[in-house]
Parts: sequence; structure tokens; C-alpha cells
Amino acid sequence: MPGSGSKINYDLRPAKNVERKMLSEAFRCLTSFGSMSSYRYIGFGSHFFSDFRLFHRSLGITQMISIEGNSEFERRCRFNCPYGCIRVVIGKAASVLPRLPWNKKTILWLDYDNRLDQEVLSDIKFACFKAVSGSMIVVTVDTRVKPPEEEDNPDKRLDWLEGCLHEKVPVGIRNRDLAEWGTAKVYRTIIDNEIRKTLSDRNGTLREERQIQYEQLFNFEYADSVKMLTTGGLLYEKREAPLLEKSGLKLLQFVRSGEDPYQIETPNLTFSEIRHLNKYLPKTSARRLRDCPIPEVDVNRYSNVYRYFPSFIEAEL
Amino acid sequence: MLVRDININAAIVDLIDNSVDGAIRCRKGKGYKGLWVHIGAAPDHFTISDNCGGIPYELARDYAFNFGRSPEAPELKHSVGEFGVGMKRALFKLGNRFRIESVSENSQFTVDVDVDEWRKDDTNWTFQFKDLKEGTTPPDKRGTVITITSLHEGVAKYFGFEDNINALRNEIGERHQTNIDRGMQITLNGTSVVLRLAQLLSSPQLRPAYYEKTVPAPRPSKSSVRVRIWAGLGRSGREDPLYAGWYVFCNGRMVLLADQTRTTGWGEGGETTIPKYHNQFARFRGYVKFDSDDGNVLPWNTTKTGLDEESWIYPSVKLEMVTLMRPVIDFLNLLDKEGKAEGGATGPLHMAVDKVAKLSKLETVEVADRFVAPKAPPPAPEMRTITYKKPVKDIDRVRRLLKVQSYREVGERTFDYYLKMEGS
Repeated sequence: MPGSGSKINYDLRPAKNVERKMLSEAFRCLTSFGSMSSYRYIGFGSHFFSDFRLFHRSLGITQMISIEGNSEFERRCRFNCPYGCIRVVIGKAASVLPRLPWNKKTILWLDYDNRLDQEVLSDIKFACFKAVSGSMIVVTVDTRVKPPEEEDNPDKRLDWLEGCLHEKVPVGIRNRDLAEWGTAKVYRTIIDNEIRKTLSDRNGTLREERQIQYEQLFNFEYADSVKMLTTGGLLYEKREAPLLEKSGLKLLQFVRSGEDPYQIETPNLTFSEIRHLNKYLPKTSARRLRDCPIPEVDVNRYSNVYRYFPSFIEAEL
Repeated sequence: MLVRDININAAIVDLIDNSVDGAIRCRKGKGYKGLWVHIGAAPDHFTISDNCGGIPYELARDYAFNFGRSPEAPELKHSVGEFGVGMKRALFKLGNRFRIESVSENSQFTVDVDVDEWRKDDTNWTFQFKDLKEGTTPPDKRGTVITITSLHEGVAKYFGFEDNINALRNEIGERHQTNIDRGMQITLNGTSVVLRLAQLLSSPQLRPAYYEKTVPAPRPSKSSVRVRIWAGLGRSGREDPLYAGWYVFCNGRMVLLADQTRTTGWGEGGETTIPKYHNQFARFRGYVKFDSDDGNVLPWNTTKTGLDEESWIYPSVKLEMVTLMRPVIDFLNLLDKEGKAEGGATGPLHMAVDKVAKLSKLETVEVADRFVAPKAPPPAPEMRTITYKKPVKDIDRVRRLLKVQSYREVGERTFDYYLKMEGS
């Protein structure tokens, strides 16, 4: 929703591209809860609408809402809106989400490009309070703790984190815990706590079988340039637990239900190399493909993501 | 020994609760027309008398004057005096001698206690009944009179100031508004307590948000709780900031008055969901009513004077309160912005709120699922000031050419001229 749409064409970010396709594959499993036509998708389409195009084409979702926080962008977003079933709503998620009806199963992707802050948490809280059983809540954040206007400084990270999220920060975190992917782990914990606390409050007045459970499915870490975290999962009523088992969601190779992340690492390959590797995948293990002149690390990475891997070609349209 | 851990106003509000429980017993849920509670508060004595049916002798003997409430106490549906300790603690809070005279349908009695004397005997924790009589009394003779003398020093002083009495009268009017609205007359030192009834503004363009749900109480209770929430705008005036905020009622008894804290969601989400209370939100009014036949499952504390935030039901209801509140806050921000602009007090939003919308009682106000606000006109173009200096001789020349009087007009007209000639 906020500004990175002006900086990045999301189509051309390989890890993001892979992530989007993995999410799409997971969303398709939701048919055990209801047909895709009973779902709506809410996201931050910017003016690229990459997620909207994919989810409409591959899942057939026809009720789609793109939240655009920057009103100066409104005309451009509407101009680029690729399908008639997408409604662009201008405003911050915090004020748009409460204006929507919440009686429909929802796939909500809060795809921020800023750090985790109170506003993100309150959007998560609202969604977890309102979403009906079978809904999917996904959150993406930049894992840097520094305020946007500051230069990063490893000694200040904890101060920044606490200054931004106050009592939400788990006890015992030190500056060194916020190095490398450390912040992503802390952020995931904070988001997880927020979801579970909200559901606990929400469930206070619900009969046991109607109480809403949360199953974390996503814990992606990836870095097209900046280190990003995507986490989230399924909200379902206790009585619908068998539907989750039936959905096959938990069998997807990239699904992670706990602290351990799934790292999306994309290789840097030529088309010839891709074609070569494709001939052997998935039957041949990555280990046996080492003999070719492609670096082993890229072979491994490619074999993990080849089904989702984008091919970029320069094209004159 | 009972702890006197409540303030004076709360103690008196508690004593009125006993009258209300009497009213519930004798009217069985019907209106309270014809019932009254008269309170007299002076530095040398305190009295509260009512015609609300008196205290049945068995109830007084077995429960009302026991310390703490026995679990075998007969269940009184929709009671506010659920915890039994309220009356005794209130008596101890106010003075050293008290006398209770009760005339109920089948019995009458008097209890006379000198607390200092009574306290000397560690083995005796009961109060002696005097003049106990049995026999039927007609309804118009039934009631309770409580007289407290040897008031504690602080209490005597407190009753000596008129502003304290006025504040007490206002608090009773707020906290017992449901009972007064149902017909009960309450007077303090001869002056009727004015009903301070919850009211919200409504018009076709301005509708308070309303939410209702009936929730089964957790076991072992077999009752359910009816939850109703209203969020919108209240009356405007100088008193506003004092009365802005959330009001929470349990079985008609107000347990939270004009709350402007985190308890009711202000400052929620590090102020991103809901800002902290500020006077620009002075018109905000939110009302939450919890009602149940089983008072034990309601979110009030043991003294019934406050909200139990951690109760099983409140956190979930608070999520709903915050959701209903958010659009009202958005609107009040727009209203504030309009008010600060030139001629803002007569702007369309102010007119819609101050002139068009009418106040109505909660039970009759027209509501909507979500707060409906008057539409704000499209924002005026953003303006900036340009300043520059030029020699007076040149300005005067341009002024003559333009045939205008002021330097300001010189600036504006030359700008318009340039824009017209070069800007298109």
C-alpha cells in the first residue's frame, strides 16, 4: 500500500514472484472450506496489481479489493487496474478495513513495504477480530527496525524497536538478536502474539466449537534487496479443524507452522541452464546434478523453487 | 473487619442499590413509578429512607447482615446488590452508629449498632435484631429507613460543603439513571436528583452505531448476557469534556463513567487505531450495557463500582467497541478540521451536528450497524502565501494600472494575470 510501488516493479523481483506463486498454491487448498468464488481477496495492489492478476487468473477469485493509501496515486491505480472485478479503495488500511463488510471468507494480504509498527499490528488485530472461519491473513513487512529517515546503526536497533513497538517487544531481546535475520524472527513472534491475543479476546464470548483457531502456514524470509518477512496463516473455527486436515495445506513443502522460516532463495541462471535443469527435475536430486557447470548453490536453490521460478524476457508489447 | 475501601459517593450509591433490590423484589421487573428514595446528608447525620418494600426478616437474618454473601442466598434476578457486602461496608464507611428500621410484607424489625461497642466483642459477629414483629403490612407502609450518626470526621466534613453534595447528586443521577428513568424518585437533601440520561444525536445523515448480541455465560451459570453497544455523538456544550467517553452499565448500574482511558480503547494500537483522548473528541459518547439474570457473570468488580476488565466477556466486547468507535473518531477529526477553518462553525458538518441532529434516548434513537456521518464537502484547494518586496514607486504604478486600492490586490491581480497569460 505505501510508497514502494513508485520504486519497484514487483513483477521483476524474483523472490517476491516466487512467494506470490507459493501463496497462490496455498490459497487454492482453501477449497475444502469453500469454493474460490465464495472468497474475496483484499490486498495492496499498487499500480502493478501483480498479486491481483495472479490470484484472479489462477484462482478465479472475482471479488477483489485493492487498498491504496496514497490518494495522489489514485488515478494511476485506477488506470492500471487490470480487471473489472477489482475495486480500488483509497485510504489507509486502518480506516478502509472497518468500512468493509466481514461476512465473507477473505484472503487478506497486508503486503507492507515498511517495518512492523503499531499500525500494522492494529490492522492485523482488526482482521483477526473480524475475519470469518476459513479466512487467510498474510502479512509482509520490511525486517529493518530503523526508522525510514535514519541510517542503520546496530547499536540503536533495540531502542528503535522498543520505541516503535513498546510492550509488544518480547523480554530479553538484545541488539545482537536483531542482526541478519534476527529481526524477522522477533517480528514473527510479535505478529504471532498479536494474532493469538486477539483471538483469545474474541473467543471469550464464543462457544467452544465456534472458537477461532489460528494455524500459522507461512514464515517466508526473502531478500530481493531488502530482507523481508511474510508470515500468516489460516483462521478457522474449532469445529472445522477436519477441513484444515483435508485441505492438504500442511503438506505443502514451503509451509512452516513455527519459528523456523522457509527461506526463498532464487538462483541466478541463464535460460540454457534453466532448460538443462528442468530436464532432470523433479526426479533427479540436486546432488546428482552437480556435474554440470552450474554452481551447486544455484542448482540447490533452483531445485527448491523451479515450479514457481519466473522467466523474464524483454518484450515489446 | 470490613475494609472501608470505597469513597463516600460510592458508599451512598451502594446504599441506593439496596433500595433498588427492594424495588426489584416488590415490582418484579415492572416500572418503579411511585417508589422513592430520600437521602439526607449533613455533618451530624446521614439518612436514607425508601418505600421499596423493606428487607424481609429472613433475608436480613441469613444473608444481608452476614459478612460476605452466602452462596445459598436466594437468587434475585437482575439484581444489582449481588455481593451483600455493599450495604455493610457502606454503613461502616460513613459512621460509628447506625440504625436500620425495616417494614416488609410479613415482618418488621430494627437493628441498632454502635460499631465501637460491637467491635469490642471479638466473638460476636452478628447484629441483634430489636422489635422483631411478624404480621402482614400493607404495601404503602413498607420500606426501610437507615440512620447513621457519629459520622466519621472526614464524612462529616464532606457533607458540610454544598459542592460535595451537588457532585454527589450528579453522580447518583448518572449512576442510577436507569432506575430514575424507570420511575424511581431519588432526592438528596430535599432536592430531586436530576436524571442525567444517556442520549445520542441522530438524523438521517447522522446515525449512531449500534451492536447487539446475546452471549451464553460460561458454566456453571445457565444464564446468558445481553450486550448492547452504542457509539456516536452526544450533546455539545461547555461540560462536554467531562462527560465524553465510554459509559458501561451492568444490569442498569453504571460501573464506568465517561471513561477516556485505555480501559475502553483510547490510545489503542499505540494510538494508530484510536488516538488518546483529546478535547476534540469531547462530543464522543459510547454506551455499553450488559444485562443478565445472573449478576455473577457480569464484568463488574466485587464492589460493583467498577469494571472488571479481565472478565470473560469484556475483552471481546472491547474489540467491538473499538471497531464501532473508529469511524466516530474519524468524523470528529473532520469536524475539528472544519471548525478550525474560516467560518467553520457554520460549515456543513457543524450544521449537520448542531442544528439538524436531535438528541434521543438510547432505547429510541435511530441507529445503524456502523456510524453514519454527514458527508464532508471536497477539501478546499491547499493554499500558500507568497511574499515579496518591491519598490513603492513600482508598486504604486502597477496599482494605478490595475485600478485597485490595496497592495494585497496588486499581488493577487498580477498573479492572476500571469497565470491567465502563461499558465494555460
